Amino acid sequence: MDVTRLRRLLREVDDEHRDTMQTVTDELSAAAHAASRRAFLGGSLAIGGGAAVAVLGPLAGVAAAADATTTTAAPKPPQAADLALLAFAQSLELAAVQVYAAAAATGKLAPEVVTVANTFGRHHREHAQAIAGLAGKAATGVANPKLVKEYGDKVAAAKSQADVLTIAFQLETAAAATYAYALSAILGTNPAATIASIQPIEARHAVVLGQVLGRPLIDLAPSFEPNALRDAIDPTKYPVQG
Amino acid sequence: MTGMEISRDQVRRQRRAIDRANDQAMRATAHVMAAAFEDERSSDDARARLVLGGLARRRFLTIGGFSVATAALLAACGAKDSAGGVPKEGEAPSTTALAARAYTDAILLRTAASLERSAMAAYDAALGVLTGAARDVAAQFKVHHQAHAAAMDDQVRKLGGQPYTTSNPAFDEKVLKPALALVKTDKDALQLAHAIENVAAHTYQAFVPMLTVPALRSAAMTIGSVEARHAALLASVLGAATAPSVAALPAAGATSTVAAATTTTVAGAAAVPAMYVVPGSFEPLAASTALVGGELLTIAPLGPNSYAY
Repeated sequence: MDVTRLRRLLREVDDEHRDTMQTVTDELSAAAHAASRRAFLGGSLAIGGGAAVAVLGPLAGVAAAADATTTTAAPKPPQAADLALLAFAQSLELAAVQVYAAAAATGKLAPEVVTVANTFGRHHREHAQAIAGLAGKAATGVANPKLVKEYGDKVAAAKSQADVLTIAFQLETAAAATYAYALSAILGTNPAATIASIQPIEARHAVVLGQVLGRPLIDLAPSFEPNALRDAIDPTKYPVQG
Repeated sequence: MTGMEISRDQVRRQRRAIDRANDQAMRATAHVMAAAFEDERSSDDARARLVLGGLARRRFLTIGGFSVATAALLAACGAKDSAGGVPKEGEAPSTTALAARAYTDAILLRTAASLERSAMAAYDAALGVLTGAARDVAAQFKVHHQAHAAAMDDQVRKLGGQPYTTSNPAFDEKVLKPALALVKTDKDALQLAHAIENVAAHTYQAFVPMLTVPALRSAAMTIGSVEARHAALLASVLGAATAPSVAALPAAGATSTVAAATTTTVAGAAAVPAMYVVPGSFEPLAASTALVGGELLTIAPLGPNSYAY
């Protein structure tokens, strides 16, 4: 990273860090105390074949955490409520694969950047495979149609390498936040562990793309990874189809 | 007759020799068995002696393989004579099992806070070596770690626990202190910081399936993911490849450890660990390497021996 740029970027970090820290603290505090915020969707998320699985909010089941004096072992396999989120996560990863393929095919990327795009696309394909292994029949194997359309249209309209990479950067940043958010809802420890091994990679992707784009340090290394729904890709707005 | 053929006479001679030997061996064996088991005057002790012990070399040679094998089997299965010839080699002294140490969500979060404070100490030391923009980045990352520690403290309090407000003693003693003693240059400091950021990222990641409350897992990864971002940025400052394969890491000198860092003297520049911005498709729960003061350190994520119980 360019040294001068680092200096410039650093100036922007302090305020952001304090704001985010406060946000996270508030969020966790709310998680521990607000029994009423059990479900952020209050509904269900349609997955392949029309099956509907309830999706609990990130704060569901957390209300008692603060007062808990005894703990119950968490379940290991994906629970019924996890399947919809896993199916969504797979569709997100497959959409990212398509976005990177489209990005590499624009002809606007330098050869070394095409290599990066192809590598990141492969990472997302492997993420999709890992998630499919957990989701079983709930996994549709279909890229999220709305994400593909939305980001695909942006890639098609991109006029420069920077435009293309900005789209990828936004997708990676949102994916990292989505998984941080999803971890609040996933009950099984096996899927939680897998998502926790994927999420930092999306964050690292964002760092690489952000550096190429010359994004401010505040975008590359916030003090906390956002895990609020407003920063994530909302599963209810991007339904899975299979 | 070619070299591969055997004459009929030779075969006959050999067969007669085998028959004679067999006949002698069978007679000797029959004698021993009759003496032992058909003579009613023979006591159990005498029978045992005949089979198991007191065999003169001549008799040993004549009773044949079957009896030898039987004796060996019986000796192996029989009671040991504590005063006699069977050594007790291999018998372990009795031990008392160590008590299992249970961990709770609060212990994991206390551990995370302690590691954050160890990272802060590492950056404090690095600030004495670094200059320019690298120093500014280190100072900023230290502030992040301070915020992470405070967030973990807050959660520990909410869980009814006591925050762990000092650095991790096991990590400090076994990893940080010896590593900092090797730091001489800005590159040493950045290499060590990069490894510690990876260790922190992987420790949070390892805690995810151990935490019982999903919201705490999310909270852990809002921090663990940022440690990974720190590591990625430091790797790029150190001049890393963008997205190489983990398999490309140099194997020379790298050793795995549980909690403590191992040091391996590096003979040449070829052993410099590659700094990866993106380590692979998945974040690994692996040890991190750092070339500090000419020695290759391997630092593993925190394990149960390093928890803040």
